[in-house]
Amino acid sequence: MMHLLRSELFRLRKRPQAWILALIMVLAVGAFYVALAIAASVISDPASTEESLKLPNIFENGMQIATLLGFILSIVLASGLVGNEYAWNTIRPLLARARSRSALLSAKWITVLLYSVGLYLLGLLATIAFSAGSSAIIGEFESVDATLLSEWAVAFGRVLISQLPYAALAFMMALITRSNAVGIAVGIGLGFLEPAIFGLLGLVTNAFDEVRKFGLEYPSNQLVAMNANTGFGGYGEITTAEAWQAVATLAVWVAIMVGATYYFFNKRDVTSG
Amino acid sequence: MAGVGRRGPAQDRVILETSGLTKRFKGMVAVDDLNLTVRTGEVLGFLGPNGAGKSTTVGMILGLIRPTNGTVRIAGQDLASNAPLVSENIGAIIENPAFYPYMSGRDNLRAHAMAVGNIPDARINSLLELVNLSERARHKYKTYSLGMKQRLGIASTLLTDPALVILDEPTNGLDPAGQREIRAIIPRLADQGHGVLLASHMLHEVEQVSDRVLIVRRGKLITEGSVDDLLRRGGYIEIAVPGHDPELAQKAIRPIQHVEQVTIENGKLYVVAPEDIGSVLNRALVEQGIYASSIMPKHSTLEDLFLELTDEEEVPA
Repeated sequence: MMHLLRSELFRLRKRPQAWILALIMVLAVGAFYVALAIAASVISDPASTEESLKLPNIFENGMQIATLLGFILSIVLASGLVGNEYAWNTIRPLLARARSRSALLSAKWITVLLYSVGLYLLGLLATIAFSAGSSAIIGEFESVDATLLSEWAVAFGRVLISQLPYAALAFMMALITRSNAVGIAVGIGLGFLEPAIFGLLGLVTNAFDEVRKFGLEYPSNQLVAMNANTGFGGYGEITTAEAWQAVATLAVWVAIMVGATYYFFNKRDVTSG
Repeated sequence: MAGVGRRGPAQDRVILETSGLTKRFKGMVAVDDLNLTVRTGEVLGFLGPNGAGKSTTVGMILGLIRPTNGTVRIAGQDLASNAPLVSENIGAIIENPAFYPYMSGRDNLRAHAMAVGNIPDARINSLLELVNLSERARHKYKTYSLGMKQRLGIASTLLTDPALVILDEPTNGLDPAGQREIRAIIPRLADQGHGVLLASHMLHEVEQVSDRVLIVRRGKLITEGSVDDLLRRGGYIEIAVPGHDPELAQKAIRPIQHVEQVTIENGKLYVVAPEDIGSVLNRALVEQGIYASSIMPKHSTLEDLFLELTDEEEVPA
Protein backbone atom coordinates (compact mmCIF):
# COMPACT_ATOMS: atom_id res chain seq x y z
CA MET A 1 0.00 0.00 0.00
CA MET A 2 2.92 2.36 0.61
CA HIS A 3 3.71 2.38 -3.11
CA LEU A 4 0.14 3.36 -3.92
CA LEU A 5 0.18 6.03 -1.23
CA ARG A 6 3.39 7.47 -2.66
CA SER A 7 1.78 7.55 -6.08
CA GLU A 8 -1.36 9.23 -4.70
CA LEU A 9 0.68 11.89 -2.90
CA PHE A 10 2.83 12.46 -5.98
CA ARG A 11 -0.25 13.03 -8.10
CA LEU A 12 -1.73 15.29 -5.44
CA ARG A 13 1.45 17.33 -5.34
CA LYS A 14 1.34 17.74 -9.12
CA ARG A 15 -2.34 18.63 -9.15
CA PRO A 16 -2.96 22.36 -9.54
CA GLN A 17 -6.34 22.05 -7.80
CA ALA A 18 -4.68 21.03 -4.53
CA TRP A 19 -2.51 24.16 -4.55
CA ILE A 20 -5.32 26.44 -5.66
CA LEU A 21 -7.56 25.26 -2.81
CA ALA A 22 -4.74 25.86 -0.33
CA LEU A 23 -4.16 29.31 -1.78
CA ILE A 24 -7.87 30.12 -1.48
CA MET A 25 -7.70 29.19 2.20
CA VAL A 26 -4.76 31.52 2.87
CA LEU A 27 -6.15 34.39 0.81
CA ALA A 28 -9.60 34.18 2.40
CA VAL A 29 -8.22 34.22 5.93
CA GLY A 30 -5.89 37.06 4.94
CA ALA A 31 -8.75 39.02 3.40
CA PHE A 32 -10.78 38.57 6.59
CA TYR A 33 -8.02 40.04 8.77
CA VAL A 34 -7.25 42.83 6.31
CA ALA A 35 -10.94 43.77 6.32
CA LEU A 36 -11.01 43.69 10.14
CA ALA A 37 -7.87 45.82 10.36
CA ILE A 38 -9.29 48.37 7.92
CA ALA A 39 -12.55 48.41 9.84
CA ALA A 40 -10.67 48.96 13.13
CA SER A 41 -8.88 51.94 11.62
CA VAL A 42 -11.98 53.69 10.29
CA ILE A 43 -14.78 53.05 12.79
CA SER A 44 -15.30 55.40 15.74
CA ASP A 45 -15.34 52.68 18.45
CA PRO A 46 -12.84 50.08 17.33
CA ALA A 47 -12.40 48.26 20.66
CA SER A 48 -14.38 45.11 19.82
CA THR A 49 -12.91 44.91 16.32
CA GLU A 50 -9.41 45.27 17.69
CA GLU A 51 -10.22 42.50 20.15
CA SER A 52 -11.17 40.25 17.23
CA LEU A 53 -7.75 40.72 15.66
CA LYS A 54 -5.88 39.46 18.70
CA LEU A 55 -4.22 36.05 18.84
CA PRO A 56 -6.16 34.73 21.85
CA ASN A 57 -9.39 35.14 19.89
CA ILE A 58 -8.48 33.39 16.63
CA PHE A 59 -10.89 30.48 17.09
CA GLU A 60 -13.79 32.89 17.41
CA ASN A 61 -12.74 34.83 14.34
CA GLY A 62 -10.25 33.79 11.66
CA MET A 63 -10.59 30.09 12.39
CA GLN A 64 -14.35 30.27 11.91
CA ILE A 65 -13.62 31.44 8.36
CA ALA A 66 -10.95 28.75 7.93
CA THR A 67 -13.35 26.11 9.26
CA LEU A 68 -16.13 27.08 6.88
CA LEU A 69 -13.74 27.22 3.94
CA GLY A 70 -12.03 24.01 4.97
CA PHE A 71 -15.44 22.33 5.03
CA ILE A 72 -16.05 23.27 1.39
CA LEU A 73 -12.51 22.88 0.06
CA SER A 74 -11.87 19.50 1.66
CA ILE A 75 -15.16 18.26 0.21
CA VAL A 76 -14.10 19.45 -3.24
CA LEU A 77 -10.75 17.71 -2.95
CA ALA A 78 -12.06 14.49 -1.39
CA SER A 79 -14.73 14.13 -4.02
CA GLY A 80 -12.32 14.90 -6.86
CA LEU A 81 -9.79 12.41 -5.61
CA VAL A 82 -12.08 9.54 -6.48
CA GLY A 83 -14.65 11.11 -8.83
CA ASN A 84 -12.06 12.37 -11.27
CA GLU A 85 -10.55 8.89 -11.57
CA TYR A 86 -13.83 7.89 -13.20
CA ALA A 87 -14.13 11.10 -15.22
CA TRP A 88 -10.61 10.74 -16.61
CA ASN A 89 -10.96 6.95 -17.09
CA THR A 90 -7.91 6.42 -14.93
CA ILE A 91 -9.49 4.10 -12.38
CA ARG A 92 -9.05 0.94 -14.47
CA PRO A 93 -5.34 1.38 -15.25
CA LEU A 94 -4.83 2.39 -11.64
CA LEU A 95 -6.57 -0.76 -10.40
CA ALA A 96 -4.52 -2.87 -12.78
CA ARG A 97 -1.41 -1.47 -11.04
CA ALA A 98 -2.73 -2.01 -7.52
CA ARG A 99 -1.95 -5.16 -5.60
CA SER A 100 -5.50 -5.08 -4.29
CA ARG A 101 -8.55 -2.85 -4.41
CA SER A 102 -8.48 -2.38 -0.66
CA ALA A 103 -4.89 -1.20 -0.82
CA LEU A 104 -5.78 1.40 -3.42
CA LEU A 105 -8.79 2.58 -1.46
CA SER A 106 -6.76 2.78 1.74
CA ALA A 107 -4.16 4.90 -0.05
CA LYS A 108 -6.92 7.24 -1.19
CA TRP A 109 -8.48 7.50 2.26
CA ILE A 110 -5.12 8.33 3.80
CA THR A 111 -4.53 10.95 1.12
CA VAL A 112 -7.90 12.58 1.84
CA LEU A 113 -7.11 12.58 5.55
CA LEU A 114 -3.62 14.01 5.10
CA TYR A 115 -4.74 16.71 2.70
CA SER A 116 -7.73 17.74 4.81
CA VAL A 117 -5.70 17.91 8.00
CA GLY A 118 -3.02 19.82 6.10
CA LEU A 119 -5.61 22.23 4.74
CA TYR A 120 -7.04 23.01 8.20
CA LEU A 121 -3.52 23.29 9.59
CA LEU A 122 -2.70 25.76 6.85
CA GLY A 123 -5.84 27.69 7.77
CA LEU A 124 -4.74 27.72 11.41
CA LEU A 125 -1.22 28.88 10.53
CA ALA A 126 -2.57 31.56 8.22
CA THR A 127 -4.96 32.70 10.93
CA ILE A 128 -2.16 32.92 13.47
CA ALA A 129 0.09 34.77 11.03
CA PHE A 130 -2.53 37.28 9.91
CA SER A 131 -3.84 37.76 13.45
CA ALA A 132 -0.33 38.39 14.78
CA GLY A 133 0.55 40.66 11.88
CA SER A 134 -2.61 42.73 11.89
CA SER A 135 -2.78 43.11 15.71
CA ALA A 136 0.89 44.15 15.71
CA ILE A 137 0.24 46.76 13.03
CA ILE A 138 -2.50 48.40 15.07
CA GLY A 139 -0.38 48.08 18.24
CA GLU A 140 -2.61 45.52 19.97
CA PHE A 141 -0.35 42.45 19.76
CA GLU A 142 -0.74 39.94 22.59
CA SER A 143 1.73 37.12 23.07
CA VAL A 144 0.75 33.47 23.46
CA ASP A 145 1.38 31.33 26.54
CA ALA A 146 1.41 27.58 27.02
CA THR A 147 -2.18 27.52 28.30
CA LEU A 148 -3.42 29.22 25.17
CA LEU A 149 -1.42 26.87 22.97
CA SER A 150 -3.02 23.85 24.63
CA GLU A 151 -6.47 25.44 24.19
CA TRP A 152 -5.68 25.93 20.52
CA ALA A 153 -4.66 22.30 20.19
CA VAL A 154 -7.98 21.14 21.68
CA ALA A 155 -9.94 23.60 19.54
CA PHE A 156 -8.09 22.47 16.41
CA GLY A 157 -8.94 18.87 17.28
CA ARG A 158 -12.60 19.84 17.50
CA VAL A 159 -12.40 21.48 14.08
CA LEU A 160 -10.98 18.31 12.53
CA ILE A 161 -13.45 15.98 14.24
CA SER A 162 -16.39 18.18 13.31
CA GLN A 163 -15.44 18.76 9.66
CA LEU A 164 -13.71 15.63 8.38
CA PRO A 165 -16.94 13.57 8.31
CA TYR A 166 -18.19 15.82 5.52
CA ALA A 167 -15.08 15.13 3.44
CA ALA A 168 -15.65 11.43 4.13
CA LEU A 169 -19.26 11.78 3.02
CA ALA A 170 -18.22 13.48 -0.23
CA PHE A 171 -15.61 10.79 -0.86
CA MET A 172 -18.11 8.01 -0.25
CA MET A 173 -20.76 9.54 -2.48
CA ALA A 174 -18.29 10.20 -5.31
CA LEU A 175 -17.14 6.60 -5.12
CA ILE A 176 -20.60 5.06 -4.98
CA THR A 177 -21.99 7.21 -7.79
CA ARG A 178 -18.68 7.44 -9.67
CA SER A 179 -19.31 11.15 -9.91
CA ASN A 180 -17.30 14.08 -8.64
CA ALA A 181 -20.29 16.41 -8.91
CA VAL A 182 -22.54 14.19 -6.80
CA GLY A 183 -19.85 13.93 -4.11
CA ILE A 184 -19.53 17.70 -3.90
CA ALA A 185 -23.27 18.32 -4.09
CA VAL A 186 -24.15 15.84 -1.35
CA GLY A 187 -21.23 16.85 0.88
CA ILE A 188 -21.94 20.56 0.77
CA GLY A 189 -25.68 20.21 0.31
CA LEU A 190 -26.17 18.06 3.39
CA GLY A 191 -24.12 20.48 5.45
CA PHE A 192 -26.56 23.25 4.66
CA LEU A 193 -29.80 21.33 4.12
CA GLU A 194 -29.71 19.10 7.19
CA PRO A 195 -30.39 21.91 9.69
CA ALA A 196 -33.08 23.32 7.41
CA ILE A 197 -34.80 19.97 7.04
CA PHE A 198 -34.71 19.25 10.78
CA GLY A 199 -35.86 22.81 11.43
CA LEU A 200 -38.94 22.19 9.31
CA LEU A 201 -39.55 18.76 10.82
CA GLY A 202 -39.19 20.33 14.26
CA LEU A 203 -42.22 22.44 13.49
CA VAL A 204 -44.25 19.25 13.15
CA THR A 205 -43.08 17.48 16.30
CA ASN A 206 -40.35 17.87 18.90
CA ALA A 207 -39.35 14.24 18.43
CA PHE A 208 -37.09 15.25 15.56
CA ASP A 209 -35.01 17.40 17.91
CA GLU A 210 -33.66 14.18 19.41
CA VAL A 211 -33.18 12.52 16.02
CA ARG A 212 -31.22 15.55 14.83
CA LYS A 213 -28.58 14.93 17.50
CA PHE A 214 -27.66 11.70 15.72
CA GLY A 215 -27.18 13.28 12.33
CA LEU A 216 -23.99 14.91 11.06
CA GLU A 217 -24.77 18.58 11.36
CA TYR A 218 -25.83 18.86 15.01
CA PRO A 219 -22.84 17.15 16.64
CA SER A 220 -20.52 18.84 14.16
CA ASN A 221 -21.84 22.30 14.95
CA GLN A 222 -21.85 21.56 18.67
CA LEU A 223 -18.09 21.01 18.52
CA VAL A 224 -17.53 24.13 16.41
CA ALA A 225 -19.69 26.14 18.79
CA MET A 226 -17.49 25.05 21.70
CA ASN A 227 -14.59 26.82 20.00
CA ALA A 228 -16.54 30.06 19.76
CA ASN A 229 -17.28 30.16 23.52
CA THR A 230 -20.33 32.25 22.78
CA GLY A 231 -23.16 29.80 22.50
CA PHE A 232 -22.68 30.17 18.73
CA GLY A 233 -25.53 28.68 16.70
CA GLY A 234 -27.91 28.34 19.61
CA TYR A 235 -26.23 25.25 21.04
CA GLY A 236 -26.00 26.80 24.50
CA GLU A 237 -23.56 25.51 27.08
CA ILE A 238 -22.23 22.16 25.91
CA THR A 239 -21.29 19.72 28.62
CA THR A 240 -18.36 17.33 28.39
CA ALA A 241 -20.77 14.41 28.11
CA GLU A 242 -22.56 16.09 25.21
CA ALA A 243 -19.24 16.79 23.52
CA TRP A 244 -18.21 13.15 23.80
CA GLN A 245 -21.59 12.08 22.49
CA ALA A 246 -21.04 14.36 19.50
CA VAL A 247 -17.60 12.85 18.91
CA ALA A 248 -18.98 9.31 19.18
CA THR A 249 -21.85 10.07 16.81
CA LEU A 250 -19.51 11.48 14.19
CA ALA A 251 -17.11 8.55 14.64
CA VAL A 252 -19.93 6.09 13.98
CA TRP A 253 -20.92 7.97 10.83
CA VAL A 254 -17.33 7.99 9.57
CA ALA A 255 -16.99 4.27 10.28
CA ILE A 256 -20.18 3.61 8.28
CA MET A 257 -18.93 5.75 5.38
CA VAL A 258 -15.50 4.14 5.31
CA GLY A 259 -17.04 0.68 5.53
CA ALA A 260 -19.45 1.46 2.69
CA THR A 261 -16.61 2.50 0.39
CA TYR A 262 -14.69 -0.74 1.00
CA TYR A 263 -17.86 -2.76 0.49
CA PHE A 264 -18.81 -1.12 -2.80
CA PHE A 265 -15.30 -0.76 -4.18
CA ASN A 266 -14.44 -4.40 -3.56
CA LYS A 267 -17.77 -5.79 -4.67
CA ARG A 268 -18.42 -3.92 -7.88
CA ASP A 269 -17.29 -4.69 -11.41
CA VAL A 270 -15.32 -1.84 -12.89
CA THR A 271 -16.67 -1.66 -16.42
CA SER A 272 -15.92 1.98 -17.10
CA GLY A 273 -13.54 4.69 -15.99
CA MET B 1 1.95 -10.22 -44.48
CA ALA B 2 0.03 -12.99 -42.77
CA GLY B 3 1.37 -13.40 -39.27
CA VAL B 4 4.87 -12.63 -38.25
CA GLY B 5 6.00 -16.17 -37.59
CA ARG B 6 8.09 -15.60 -34.50
CA ARG B 7 9.35 -18.75 -32.93
CA GLY B 8 11.64 -18.04 -30.02
CA PRO B 9 12.68 -20.17 -27.07
CA ALA B 10 10.52 -18.05 -24.77
CA GLN B 11 7.40 -19.02 -26.66
CA ASP B 12 6.72 -22.17 -24.73
CA ARG B 13 5.69 -20.48 -21.50
CA VAL B 14 1.96 -20.08 -21.04
CA ILE B 15 1.46 -16.71 -19.39
CA LEU B 16 -2.33 -16.49 -19.62
CA GLU B 17 -4.93 -19.19 -19.63
CA THR B 18 -8.66 -18.78 -19.29
CA SER B 19 -10.89 -21.75 -18.76
CA GLY B 20 -14.65 -21.72 -19.19
CA LEU B 21 -14.63 -17.96 -18.68
CA THR B 22 -18.20 -16.70 -18.53
CA LYS B 23 -19.77 -13.37 -17.64
CA ARG B 24 -23.46 -12.62 -17.44
CA PHE B 25 -24.80 -9.13 -16.87
CA LYS B 26 -28.41 -9.20 -15.68
CA GLY B 27 -29.28 -12.24 -17.73
CA MET B 28 -27.31 -11.18 -20.81
CA VAL B 29 -24.34 -13.38 -21.62
CA ALA B 30 -21.38 -11.12 -22.45
CA VAL B 31 -18.73 -13.85 -22.48
CA ASP B 32 -19.64 -17.51 -22.85
CA ASP B 33 -17.36 -20.35 -21.82
CA LEU B 34 -14.23 -18.82 -23.32
CA ASN B 35 -10.95 -20.68 -23.32
CA LEU B 36 -7.85 -18.91 -24.50
CA THR B 37 -4.14 -19.22 -24.02
CA VAL B 38 -1.36 -16.71 -24.58
CA ARG B 39 2.28 -17.70 -24.57
CA THR B 40 5.26 -15.46 -24.12
CA GLY B 41 6.75 -14.34 -27.44
CA GLU B 42 3.53 -14.53 -29.43
CA VAL B 43 0.81 -12.13 -30.49
CA LEU B 44 -2.69 -13.49 -30.07
CA GLY B 45 -5.21 -11.53 -32.09
CA PHE B 46 -8.52 -11.40 -30.28
CA LEU B 47 -11.02 -10.54 -32.96
CA GLY B 48 -14.68 -9.80 -32.77
CA PRO B 49 -17.22 -7.22 -33.82
CA ASN B 50 -18.10 -4.42 -31.42
CA GLY B 51 -20.00 -5.82 -28.47
CA ALA B 52 -18.61 -9.32 -28.92
CA GLY B 53 -17.27 -9.42 -25.36
CA LYS B 54 -13.62 -8.56 -25.97
CA SER B 55 -13.37 -5.75 -23.43
CA THR B 56 -15.35 -7.74 -20.87
CA THR B 57 -12.88 -10.58 -21.32
CA VAL B 58 -9.97 -8.18 -20.88
CA GLY B 59 -11.69 -6.77 -17.79
CA MET B 60 -11.92 -10.25 -16.28
CA ILE B 61 -8.30 -11.00 -17.08
CA LEU B 62 -7.31 -7.78 -15.30
CA GLY B 63 -9.51 -8.52 -12.29
CA LEU B 64 -11.72 -5.51 -12.95
CA ILE B 65 -14.76 -7.65 -13.68
CA ARG B 66 -15.58 -10.76 -11.70
CA PRO B 67 -16.35 -13.82 -13.83
CA THR B 68 -19.72 -15.48 -13.34
CA ASN B 69 -17.97 -18.78 -14.05
CA GLY B 70 -14.57 -20.01 -15.09
CA THR B 71 -11.04 -19.20 -14.14
CA VAL B 72 -8.20 -16.95 -15.20
CA ARG B 73 -4.72 -18.28 -14.63
CA ILE B 74 -1.77 -15.93 -14.92
CA ALA B 75 1.71 -17.46 -14.96
CA GLY B 76 0.11 -20.71 -13.82
CA GLN B 77 -1.66 -19.25 -10.79
CA ASP B 78 -5.35 -18.64 -10.23
CA LEU B 79 -6.18 -14.93 -10.33
CA ALA B 80 -9.18 -15.32 -8.01
CA SER B 81 -6.94 -16.24 -5.10
CA ASN B 82 -3.99 -14.01 -5.97
CA ALA B 83 -4.94 -10.47 -7.07
CA PRO B 84 -1.34 -9.13 -7.25
CA LEU B 85 -0.75 -11.45 -10.24
CA VAL B 86 -2.11 -8.72 -12.51
CA SER B 87 0.21 -5.94 -11.39
CA GLU B 88 3.16 -8.33 -11.35
CA ASN B 89 2.66 -9.89 -14.77
CA ILE B 90 0.46 -7.73 -16.96
CA GLY B 91 0.66 -4.33 -18.58
CA ALA B 92 -2.53 -3.21 -20.28
CA ILE B 93 -4.23 -0.52 -22.27
CA ILE B 94 -7.96 -0.85 -21.77
CA GLU B 95 -10.01 0.56 -24.65
CA ASN B 96 -8.25 3.93 -24.64
CA PRO B 97 -5.12 5.08 -22.88
CA ALA B 98 -6.08 7.09 -19.81
CA PHE B 99 -3.74 9.37 -17.90
CA TYR B 100 -3.91 12.43 -15.68
CA PRO B 101 -4.37 15.46 -17.94
CA TYR B 102 -2.64 17.91 -15.60
CA MET B 103 0.64 15.99 -15.54
CA SER B 104 3.32 15.58 -18.18
CA GLY B 105 3.84 12.30 -19.99
CA ARG B 106 6.92 11.60 -17.90
CA ASP B 107 5.15 12.38 -14.61
CA ASN B 108 2.28 10.12 -15.60
CA LEU B 109 4.73 7.29 -16.10
CA ARG B 110 6.38 8.20 -12.79
CA ALA B 111 3.03 8.03 -11.02
CA HIS B 112 2.42 4.56 -12.47
CA ALA B 113 5.97 3.53 -11.61
CA MET B 114 5.50 4.65 -8.01
CA ALA B 115 2.27 2.69 -7.74
CA VAL B 116 4.20 -0.46 -8.58
CA GLY B 117 7.44 0.51 -6.86
CA ASN B 118 11.14 0.12 -7.59
CA ILE B 119 11.15 1.31 -11.18
CA PRO B 120 14.08 3.62 -11.87
CA ASP B 121 13.82 6.83 -13.88
CA ALA B 122 16.21 5.31 -16.42
CA ARG B 123 13.54 2.75 -17.28
CA ILE B 124 11.01 5.52 -17.81
CA ASN B 125 13.42 7.39 -20.06
CA SER B 126 14.18 4.34 -22.16
CA LEU B 127 10.47 3.63 -22.61
CA LEU B 128 9.82 7.21 -23.65
CA GLU B 129 12.58 6.75 -26.20
CA LEU B 130 11.11 3.47 -27.39
CA VAL B 131 7.78 5.11 -28.19
CA ASN B 132 9.35 8.27 -29.60
CA LEU B 133 8.06 10.57 -26.89
CA SER B 134 11.30 11.78 -25.33
CA GLU B 135 11.01 15.25 -26.81
CA ARG B 136 7.44 15.74 -25.63
CA ALA B 137 7.85 13.98 -22.29
CA ARG B 138 7.77 17.25 -20.33
CA HIS B 139 4.61 18.51 -21.95
CA LYS B 140 1.23 18.08 -20.33
CA TYR B 141 -0.66 14.94 -21.32
CA LYS B 142 -3.70 17.00 -22.26
CA THR B 143 -1.70 18.58 -25.09
CA TYR B 144 -0.88 15.21 -26.68
CA SER B 145 -2.36 14.00 -29.95
CA LEU B 146 -4.28 10.73 -29.89
CA GLY B 147 -1.30 8.92 -31.39
CA MET B 148 1.00 10.25 -28.68
CA LYS B 149 -1.49 9.19 -26.03
CA GLN B 150 -1.56 5.68 -27.44
CA ARG B 151 2.23 5.55 -27.51
CA LEU B 152 2.40 6.75 -23.92
CA GLY B 153 -0.11 4.02 -23.10
CA ILE B 154 2.16 1.41 -24.63
CA ALA B 155 5.13 2.80 -22.69
CA SER B 156 3.12 2.53 -19.50
CA THR B 157 2.22 -1.10 -20.19
CA LEU B 158 5.92 -1.91 -20.40
CA LEU B 159 6.98 -0.20 -17.16
CA THR B 160 7.28 -3.43 -15.22
CA ASP B 161 8.59 -5.39 -18.19
CA PRO B 162 5.49 -7.60 -17.92
CA ALA B 163 5.29 -11.08 -19.34
CA LEU B 164 1.92 -10.25 -20.88
CA VAL B 165 0.91 -7.05 -22.65
CA ILE B 166 -2.79 -6.51 -23.31
CA LEU B 167 -3.69 -3.99 -25.97
CA ASP B 168 -7.42 -3.39 -26.28
CA GLU B 169 -8.14 -1.57 -29.56
CA PRO B 170 -4.74 0.16 -29.51
CA THR B 171 -5.20 1.96 -32.82
CA ASN B 172 -8.70 3.20 -32.14
CA GLY B 173 -9.16 6.67 -33.58
CA LEU B 174 -5.63 6.96 -34.96
CA ASP B 175 -4.82 8.26 -38.42
CA PRO B 176 -3.12 5.80 -40.82
CA ALA B 177 0.36 7.00 -39.85
CA GLY B 178 -0.42 6.55 -36.17
CA GLN B 179 -1.86 3.12 -36.79
CA ARG B 180 1.27 2.10 -38.65
CA GLU B 181 3.47 3.28 -35.79
CA ILE B 182 1.55 1.22 -33.25
CA ARG B 183 1.52 -1.79 -35.54
CA ALA B 184 5.27 -1.56 -35.88
CA ILE B 185 5.67 -1.66 -32.11
CA ILE B 186 3.48 -4.73 -31.47
CA PRO B 187 5.66 -7.37 -33.20
CA ARG B 188 8.71 -5.87 -31.49
CA LEU B 189 7.11 -6.54 -28.13
CA ALA B 190 6.68 -10.19 -29.00
CA ASP B 191 10.22 -10.34 -30.34
CA GLN B 192 11.39 -9.14 -26.94
CA GLY B 193 9.60 -12.08 -25.33
CA HIS B 194 6.37 -10.46 -24.19
CA GLY B 195 3.13 -12.29 -24.82
CA VAL B 196 0.71 -9.90 -26.49
CA LEU B 197 -3.07 -10.15 -26.41
CA LEU B 198 -4.33 -7.82 -29.11
CA ALA B 199 -8.07 -7.25 -28.84
CA SER B 200 -9.34 -5.54 -31.94
CA HIS B 201 -12.10 -5.35 -34.47
CA MET B 202 -9.63 -4.13 -37.11
CA LEU B 203 -8.97 -7.17 -39.24
CA HIS B 204 -6.02 -6.05 -41.30
CA GLU B 205 -4.29 -4.99 -38.09
CA VAL B 206 -4.72 -8.40 -36.52
CA GLU B 207 -3.81 -10.13 -39.76
CA GLN B 208 -0.59 -8.15 -40.03
CA VAL B 209 0.80 -8.59 -36.55
CA SER B 210 -0.72 -11.73 -35.02
CA ASP B 211 0.68 -15.23 -34.85
CA ARG B 212 -2.63 -16.72 -33.84
CA VAL B 213 -6.15 -15.43 -34.05
CA LEU B 214 -9.19 -16.12 -31.96
CA ILE B 215 -12.54 -14.94 -33.25
CA VAL B 216 -15.48 -14.36 -30.94
CA ARG B 217 -19.08 -13.49 -31.57
CA ARG B 218 -21.61 -12.70 -28.87
CA GLY B 219 -19.04 -13.71 -26.29
CA LYS B 220 -18.51 -17.15 -27.76
CA LEU B 221 -15.40 -18.49 -29.42
CA ILE B 222 -16.21 -19.37 -33.01
CA THR B 223 -12.80 -20.24 -34.37
CA GLU B 224 -9.12 -20.03 -33.57
CA GLY B 225 -5.86 -20.95 -35.18
CA SER B 226 -2.72 -19.55 -36.72
CA VAL B 227 -3.29 -16.78 -39.22
CA ASP B 228 -1.91 -18.98 -42.02
CA ASP B 229 -4.24 -21.85 -41.10
CA LEU B 230 -7.26 -19.62 -41.00
CA LEU B 231 -6.43 -18.06 -44.33
CA ARG B 232 -5.82 -21.46 -45.89
CA ARG B 233 -9.16 -22.56 -44.49
CA GLY B 234 -10.82 -19.79 -46.41
CA GLY B 235 -8.89 -20.37 -49.70
CA TYR B 236 -10.31 -21.58 -53.01
CA ILE B 237 -9.29 -22.28 -56.62
CA GLU B 238 -10.68 -20.28 -59.53
CA ILE B 239 -10.94 -22.11 -62.87
CA ALA B 240 -11.77 -20.42 -66.19
CA VAL B 241 -13.07 -22.73 -68.95
CA PRO B 242 -13.99 -20.41 -71.85
CA GLY B 243 -15.77 -22.15 -74.73
CA HIS B 244 -16.77 -25.12 -72.56
CA ASP B 245 -19.83 -26.00 -70.53
CA PRO B 246 -19.03 -25.06 -66.92
CA GLU B 247 -21.61 -27.52 -65.61
CA LEU B 248 -19.82 -30.34 -67.38
CA ALA B 249 -16.58 -29.13 -65.79
CA GLN B 250 -18.29 -29.05 -62.40
CA LYS B 251 -19.37 -32.68 -62.83
CA ALA B 252 -15.81 -33.65 -63.72
CA ILE B 253 -14.29 -32.03 -60.68
CA ARG B 254 -16.80 -32.74 -57.95
CA PRO B 255 -15.86 -36.42 -57.36
CA ILE B 256 -12.17 -35.65 -56.84
CA GLN B 257 -10.85 -36.39 -53.39
CA HIS B 258 -10.39 -33.31 -51.11
CA VAL B 259 -12.76 -31.21 -53.21
CA GLU B 260 -15.27 -29.85 -50.74
CA GLN B 261 -17.38 -27.64 -52.91
CA VAL B 262 -17.65 -26.52 -56.56
CA THR B 263 -19.76 -23.51 -57.52
CA ILE B 264 -20.28 -21.70 -60.79
CA GLU B 265 -20.37 -17.95 -61.02
CA ASN B 266 -20.17 -15.84 -64.20
CA GLY B 267 -19.04 -18.88 -66.16
CA LYS B 268 -16.13 -19.60 -63.83
CA LEU B 269 -15.74 -22.44 -61.36
CA TYR B 270 -14.87 -21.82 -57.74
CA VAL B 271 -13.47 -24.87 -56.02
CA VAL B 272 -13.02 -25.16 -52.29
CA ALA B 273 -10.06 -27.51 -52.05
CA PRO B 274 -6.39 -27.55 -51.03
CA GLU B 275 -4.50 -25.22 -53.34
CA ASP B 276 -1.92 -27.89 -54.35
CA ILE B 277 -4.41 -30.05 -56.28
CA GLY B 278 -4.53 -27.75 -59.30
CA SER B 279 -2.81 -30.34 -61.55
CA VAL B 280 -5.27 -33.04 -60.46
CA LEU B 281 -8.17 -30.77 -61.36
CA ASN B 282 -6.61 -29.97 -64.71
CA ARG B 283 -6.16 -33.66 -65.57
CA ALA B 284 -9.78 -34.42 -64.69
CA LEU B 285 -10.92 -31.60 -66.96
CA VAL B 286 -8.66 -32.66 -69.84
CA GLU B 287 -9.99 -36.22 -69.56
CA GLN B 288 -13.42 -34.76 -70.25
CA GLY B 289 -12.08 -32.74 -73.21
CA ILE B 290 -12.24 -29.47 -71.26
CA TYR B 291 -9.24 -27.20 -71.50
CA ALA B 292 -8.95 -24.58 -68.78
CA SER B 293 -7.44 -21.24 -69.69
CA SER B 294 -6.45 -20.63 -66.06
CA ILE B 295 -6.40 -22.51 -62.75
CA MET B 296 -5.56 -20.05 -59.99
CA PRO B 297 -5.39 -20.66 -56.24
CA LYS B 298 -6.94 -17.68 -54.43
CA HIS B 299 -6.35 -16.73 -50.82
CA SER B 300 -9.19 -15.24 -48.90
CA THR B 301 -8.37 -12.51 -46.43
CA LEU B 302 -9.00 -12.66 -42.73
CA GLU B 303 -11.70 -10.14 -43.42
CA ASP B 304 -13.53 -12.62 -45.68
CA LEU B 305 -13.30 -15.28 -43.02
CA PHE B 306 -14.28 -12.90 -40.27
CA LEU B 307 -17.33 -11.67 -42.12
CA GLU B 308 -18.31 -15.20 -43.00
CA LEU B 309 -18.00 -16.37 -39.41
CA THR B 310 -19.52 -13.39 -37.68
CA ASP B 311 -22.29 -12.77 -40.19
CA GLU B 312 -25.34 -12.24 -37.99
CA GLU B 313 -28.38 -14.32 -38.82
CA GLU B 314 -31.66 -12.50 -39.07
CA VAL B 315 -33.48 -12.86 -35.83
CA PRO B 316 -37.22 -13.33 -36.35
CA ALA B 317 -39.28 -10.79 -34.52
